[in-house]
Amino acid sequence: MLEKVGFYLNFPFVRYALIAGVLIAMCSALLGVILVLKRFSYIGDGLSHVAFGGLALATVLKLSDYNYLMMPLTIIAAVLLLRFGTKGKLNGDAALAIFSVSALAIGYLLMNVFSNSANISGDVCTTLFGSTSILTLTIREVWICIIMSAVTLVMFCLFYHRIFAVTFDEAFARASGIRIGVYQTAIAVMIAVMIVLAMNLVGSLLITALMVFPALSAMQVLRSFRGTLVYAACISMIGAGGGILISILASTPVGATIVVFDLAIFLIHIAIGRVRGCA
Amino acid sequence: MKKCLMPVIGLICSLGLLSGCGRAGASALPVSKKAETVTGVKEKKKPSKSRRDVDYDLTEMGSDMVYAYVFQMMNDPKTFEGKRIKIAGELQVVRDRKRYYYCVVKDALACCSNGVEFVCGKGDDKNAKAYPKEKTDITVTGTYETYKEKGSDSLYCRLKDATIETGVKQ
Repeated sequence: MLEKVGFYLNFPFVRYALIAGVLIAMCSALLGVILVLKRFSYIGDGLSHVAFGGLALATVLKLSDYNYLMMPLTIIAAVLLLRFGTKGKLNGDAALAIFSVSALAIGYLLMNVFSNSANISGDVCTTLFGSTSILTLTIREVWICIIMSAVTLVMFCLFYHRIFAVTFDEAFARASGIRIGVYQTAIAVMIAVMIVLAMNLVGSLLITALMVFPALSAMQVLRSFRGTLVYAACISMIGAGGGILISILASTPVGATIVVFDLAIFLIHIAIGRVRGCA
Repeated sequence: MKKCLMPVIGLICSLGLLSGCGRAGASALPVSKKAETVTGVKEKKKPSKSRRDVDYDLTEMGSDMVYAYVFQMMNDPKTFEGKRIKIAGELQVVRDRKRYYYCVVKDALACCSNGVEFVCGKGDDKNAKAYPKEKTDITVTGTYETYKEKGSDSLYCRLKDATIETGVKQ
């Protein structure tokens, strides 16, 4: 089996998949910790559906790069939901539900009515579940993942204390002179960008798992915010790398394999947390 | 947290360097082991035209890798031009101005599929009896080439001088 792994690692597109997958998983985990603590766990799902709607519209408009439409639409939706979601007449979860199902339905309708693809169900299936799209990345897309991951990491490193304050106590952060709106917008933009990139890895329907499972696993065994961030990022990288290799060896869908691997890690951590609680 | 910055940036830079390993695109793809052992040392002995060994044997790989490989063949045709490729899948026929024959590989749900066109002989309809029935499981070995149809600027690719084995499923 090791020989086969070594053989597959000779292929550039396998290396690209591992690099992009690991980096996307790491950044998703970092952002996922914030989302879980702010009770916005399901926003990944909602935003991924908006991204799907953007993808469908870009397909219909025959854009050369779907990100020209997907990214701005997802960013706008993320800012609206995370910054203004609790202030309007519609509560955060209701607004999320409206965005999510509307974008999904409109996207699927557009693809059916105006499609120029020979295999709509295949395209939709790949986008929703991320079957093998991570193995078809170009070098340009890999570099985009690397740059966005670097930006996310630098943000967390440089503004760690402010992100901590905004996550746990907005009132205190505001009183301390921190510009809440700026950091909320920045976090919303990073989440939107990561979700669009993560669609290649696990597909629209499974993105929430990539963001939530590592954070929840880390919270079972660690109590500090810094420790949870670092540990969540590490286990997310292990989950993504292991999931990609297993899926290639076993010919299983990449996205689902990664999520099942993350689920197994989560269950192990629940058990560890219970044992430590009893000890 | 700032103390973590340098090692983290170093990690990302090293991952970025890894992405540039080898030549761009699929040009650094490893050839099949069989081709190396039969010809002895790589590329020293020119194979005969009629029965050359396989350069890329997709039947040795799982369906995920085959899908990705075929995608690379469509995306970077220059790398594969003139190479002998072996692929297993299902025979599909498309009837347009003439018949086009494809070896299609699907995943378990049969929603994500990819395939390569192939021709036996000259590729005209007079040779239709040389092909098995549609939806037969086949293994095709042929030489990769790109071509253009008359009156079209689109570039197509296919396996020419293809040989077919039936009843072999990946």
